[in-house]
Amino acid sequence: MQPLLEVKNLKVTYDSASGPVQAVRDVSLQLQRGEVLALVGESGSGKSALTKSVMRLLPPSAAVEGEVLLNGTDVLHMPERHLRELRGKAMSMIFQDPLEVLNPVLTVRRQIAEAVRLHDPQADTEQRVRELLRLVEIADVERCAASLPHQLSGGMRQRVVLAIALAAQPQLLIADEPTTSLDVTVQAQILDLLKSLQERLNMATLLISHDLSVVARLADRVAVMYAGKIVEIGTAEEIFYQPAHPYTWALLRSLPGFSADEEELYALPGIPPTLIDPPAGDAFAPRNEYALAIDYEQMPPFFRLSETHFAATWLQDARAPRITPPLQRRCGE
Amino acid sequence: MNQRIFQLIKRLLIVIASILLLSVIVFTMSRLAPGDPLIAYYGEQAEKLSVEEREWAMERLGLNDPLPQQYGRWLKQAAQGELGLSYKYKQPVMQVISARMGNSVLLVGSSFVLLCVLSLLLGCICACYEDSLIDKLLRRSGIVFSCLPEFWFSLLLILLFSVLLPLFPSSGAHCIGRADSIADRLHHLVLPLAAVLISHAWYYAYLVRNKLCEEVRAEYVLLAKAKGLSRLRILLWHCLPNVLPGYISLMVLALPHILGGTYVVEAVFSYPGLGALIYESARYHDYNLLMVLSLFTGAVVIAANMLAQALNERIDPRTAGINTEVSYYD
Repeated sequence: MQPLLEVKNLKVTYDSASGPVQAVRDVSLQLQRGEVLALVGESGSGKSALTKSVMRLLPPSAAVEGEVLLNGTDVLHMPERHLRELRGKAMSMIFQDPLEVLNPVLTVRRQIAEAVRLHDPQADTEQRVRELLRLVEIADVERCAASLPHQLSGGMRQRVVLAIALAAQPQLLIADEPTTSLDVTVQAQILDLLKSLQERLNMATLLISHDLSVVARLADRVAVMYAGKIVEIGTAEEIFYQPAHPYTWALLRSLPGFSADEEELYALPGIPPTLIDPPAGDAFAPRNEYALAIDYEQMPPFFRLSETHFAATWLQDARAPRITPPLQRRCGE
Repeated sequence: MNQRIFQLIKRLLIVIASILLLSVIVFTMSRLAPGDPLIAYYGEQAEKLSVEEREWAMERLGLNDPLPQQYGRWLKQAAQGELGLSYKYKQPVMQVISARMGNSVLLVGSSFVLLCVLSLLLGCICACYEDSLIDKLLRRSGIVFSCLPEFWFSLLLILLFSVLLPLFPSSGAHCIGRADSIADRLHHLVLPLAAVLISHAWYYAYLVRNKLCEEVRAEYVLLAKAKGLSRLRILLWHCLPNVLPGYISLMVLALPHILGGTYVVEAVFSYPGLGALIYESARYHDYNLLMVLSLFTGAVVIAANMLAQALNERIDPRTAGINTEVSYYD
């Protein structure tokens, strides 16, 4: 079956004052209809650049190479006119900071109505705006529609952004850290809403997060990114219960539910490499306590662990020493 | 409410003080400037006056008294609504001014409206095609035109379009005896208007362009793009409303700037408006006329400044009182 979204060998390079920054380095992934794929990684790991290049929202100064196929059509090279028809209709996006992405001087009603009218000029806009606000579980629809963004709370704003994204019933929703700027209690509400909407509308979702616990609630599959590359990809079960990459271990260890019996919560030492001149081998090697000599010299290929589970680490090589992941699971068992 | 009345009184006092100060400055400077006020009164004849006759004329016009006394007398009469006679026109000052007011209002008004439209349009074009050839071309030529002095540019226009290519009249507001013909008035308006517009438009267009270019990089543009909107539509429907409040208060502040510009242009084109009049009255030491015109201009400038200030405080919905009363809810 043709996947809904297919990213092949994507490379994104920015020009910076100190040289070209390789934000995304050769990433490939596939997303099936109705599936939720989570991209997890630290800030700067290239997850945002990856999703923005799918929507083609990167500034013109960013050079994008590779292929992004949506329903088999190439998104990266299609003309602007054609692209505009896809945006909102075939794929939509919600963002990290809902206050920043809503226009401060236009009412919520206008901003939603615009999205509705653009893709369906015949629609009863008023009616549809109310429907959408109800869909994202806003109680006082009329009052919210008449408000300006700054009059709403953070959670409400994210609901409004979600309503805009759903206006034309997209097949693919890209959620770029949708809960990062919200309070913890509101985060949970928004995640539950996302989950129920995703199931109800059977909408494929690309969820971006730096927080594995956010991902656990929603994702069917998880891709872990580090320094512009995917280092491990698998189903949520595989990533949470049989993680194979030391970086995934480190991410899991820093969650309260997964950490071994340690006094303090684990924190991964060191900082990610700069992507201006990335190291030759595994970019994670300098922070990896299990790093092998070859990790510093040669980039590890993807080792296939199961039909769906791949990890790019030399530890999976037949000649590598066997290492027990430093994890102790206390939740979900 | 009390606070607002207090604010209002405070502002009113500032206005009165500024105008009084302005009147002292103009009064002193005009009398200190070298020249013979009697030339305004007697024209060429002034040179033929005998010493006694001069003395007598100066005495009669009150020009021999010490300056503070002269100023005190002027102030007292002005407070009673008596602004004196124009030396040159031998008519009450207000009568001379009102005869020319219409012409100036026409020139300033049309310049202002066209300038608003033109600068907004140019700014949008440049921002929409940022860093393209048309943007660069407009930016370069705009800088050149806004750096040319207005009087010189006006002369250039006269040379090009009245002398070499006689399309438009070089002076006046209308042909003699055709004061009621709108077409004729517009025909006379073209060159002065062009001079004001071309020398001022770029300054404001550039501000609009830069504001818009900044706005295009705002985060909300990402969401607008993700909706599927076109670049032009985002610029006009999303960015412009965010720029407009600042632009409106800017244009109100521009009013005095444009007023000053039209004065120069009026003088070059002998356009019978207040600008030509103020130039004339300064040149011929027509003290009473000069005082009133300067104070009038000053009042317009002060009023525009205050209006801009008031607009700035009100226009942004985020800072407006009514909206902040609605508290956050979830």
